[in-house]
Amino acid sequence: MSFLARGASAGAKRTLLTGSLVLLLLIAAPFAVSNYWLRVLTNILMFATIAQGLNIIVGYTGYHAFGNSVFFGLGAYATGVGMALGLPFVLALVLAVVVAVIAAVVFGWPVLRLSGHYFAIATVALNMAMLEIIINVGGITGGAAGLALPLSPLGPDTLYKIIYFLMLTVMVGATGFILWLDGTRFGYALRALRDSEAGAEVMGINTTAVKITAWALSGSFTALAGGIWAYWFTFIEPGSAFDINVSIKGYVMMLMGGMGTVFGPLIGAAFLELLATLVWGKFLKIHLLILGLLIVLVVTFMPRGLLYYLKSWAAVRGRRDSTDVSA
Amino acid sequence: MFLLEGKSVSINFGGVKALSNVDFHVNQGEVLGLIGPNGAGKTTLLNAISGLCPRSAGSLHFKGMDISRLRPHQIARLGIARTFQVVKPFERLTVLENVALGAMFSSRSVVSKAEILHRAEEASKSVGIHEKALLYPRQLTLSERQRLELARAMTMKPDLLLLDEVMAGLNHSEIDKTIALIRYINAALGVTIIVVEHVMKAIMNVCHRVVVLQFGKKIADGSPQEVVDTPEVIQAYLGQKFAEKHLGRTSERTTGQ
Repeated sequence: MSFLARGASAGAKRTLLTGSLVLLLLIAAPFAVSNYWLRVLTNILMFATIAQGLNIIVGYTGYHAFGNSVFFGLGAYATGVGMALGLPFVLALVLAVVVAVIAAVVFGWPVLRLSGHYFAIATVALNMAMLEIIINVGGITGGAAGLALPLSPLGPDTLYKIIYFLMLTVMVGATGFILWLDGTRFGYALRALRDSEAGAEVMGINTTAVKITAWALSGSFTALAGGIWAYWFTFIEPGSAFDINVSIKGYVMMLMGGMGTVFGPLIGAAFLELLATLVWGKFLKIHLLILGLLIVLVVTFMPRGLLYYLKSWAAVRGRRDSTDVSA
Repeated sequence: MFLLEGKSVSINFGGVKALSNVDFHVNQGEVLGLIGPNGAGKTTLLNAISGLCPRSAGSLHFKGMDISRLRPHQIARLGIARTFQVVKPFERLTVLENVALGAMFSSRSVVSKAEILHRAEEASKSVGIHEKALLYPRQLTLSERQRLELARAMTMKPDLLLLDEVMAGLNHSEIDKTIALIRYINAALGVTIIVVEHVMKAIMNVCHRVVVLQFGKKIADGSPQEVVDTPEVIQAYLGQKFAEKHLGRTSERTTGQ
């Protein structure tokens, strides 16, 4: 789990092996699946990134940023406006990160003074305010009418594969960052302030700087997902870019998979998104009801997230296997 | 020069004067006891020193430097560590990680993992929670959790240590252990200490000097014996029973009535 846990356990090695295997499969996947499944997979990667972004600020720092979709929207619009002004796509993505960092610092300064429900509500309000601002600013953002991004000269087959690999890169980047976080001073500063802010302060941790940095990082990954999404859909409008459901879904995924763990949010994203694709198509009218029920069941019976229960199941099985061998 | 000097420190919570014009100082190398009835402002004074509570008026100087306007982490990095009366462990970090955090951010922080671990293990050993290093704080007893707070502060290698009722709720043998520990930190490690405590046995045993607060005002300042002999302190805090039992001052009872 961290450098103070001393020595990589067998479990950590197995996790690394599983992770590498899944990554290889994900790299090979676009060349083996239909366009429909490519789309589903891209969506999973996008939500996995959003869930990891939330994991940094919620799981590790303890600030429940329900309105993190504000960074998704800002990323989408920064990319869209950047490209409308003639920036190439990759530079527009850089702009998205810059905008997210500035927003996290400027809004984080006052908003991160709040805690608990107050912070959560403030982030939702921030998302709503941004939505209204984009609608009313109009001009180069297209306002309520939406904004069309320049079309790629590449054919859809190539473009969708590139989008997929970009999403994969950002998702791997976010996960790699969290993996790195687990054993660093910065990571310990985050987890300390999550558990006791006053306790962290008197031990020399600059909590204000640390939590603003955490939100900026969380926002950056979310903004990258938004920017790639904008180019993928080629047309964005305020309602769908600043859709609060984006962060709520990401939050549920993070919660389901296991917040504050490295791989939990990925499992949650894959689980929920695949479930949605495979099952809810058959329950168009009641799928929200099923989703609600699922959330209640998970929070009640699996509060630690899927990853924890998968791990303990594997541990129990491992123990049984080893006793079988010795017997 | 005093290690820490407060001049007319005042803190108001709305209309309530939690501390009014308290002058005090701490000498290098001493153990200063801070006593007084509940609500006297003892913890508030510790909060003022560690920067958790903004001062309404007055000044605080640490090593001659004005710390009145510094934030808690800046004060911690100058070499002031503290414990909390209501323990505040990092619940989702192991005991060892909790202790190690002190070595990561303080004035004398170290970078290498081996050194951080070494310092954490050393502190865990001296407070006697070493065997539980890989457990989580909620798996510890109250006494162990209080010693965890102490170990966290010790890994910071502070010049001044503020202890807020580290003996509350402990039994006699645990109190004796903690008294020995405070003496060790003061004498062997050379740390200056302010102790807030209701356990008078500890105050009498470890403190070089005692300051008594009542209703946010300083009512006595002197050696432990001088302070417990002060009539105002007996009336405000210790009570007649304590005086009779420990000081043999039965005669005062009649005058008191």
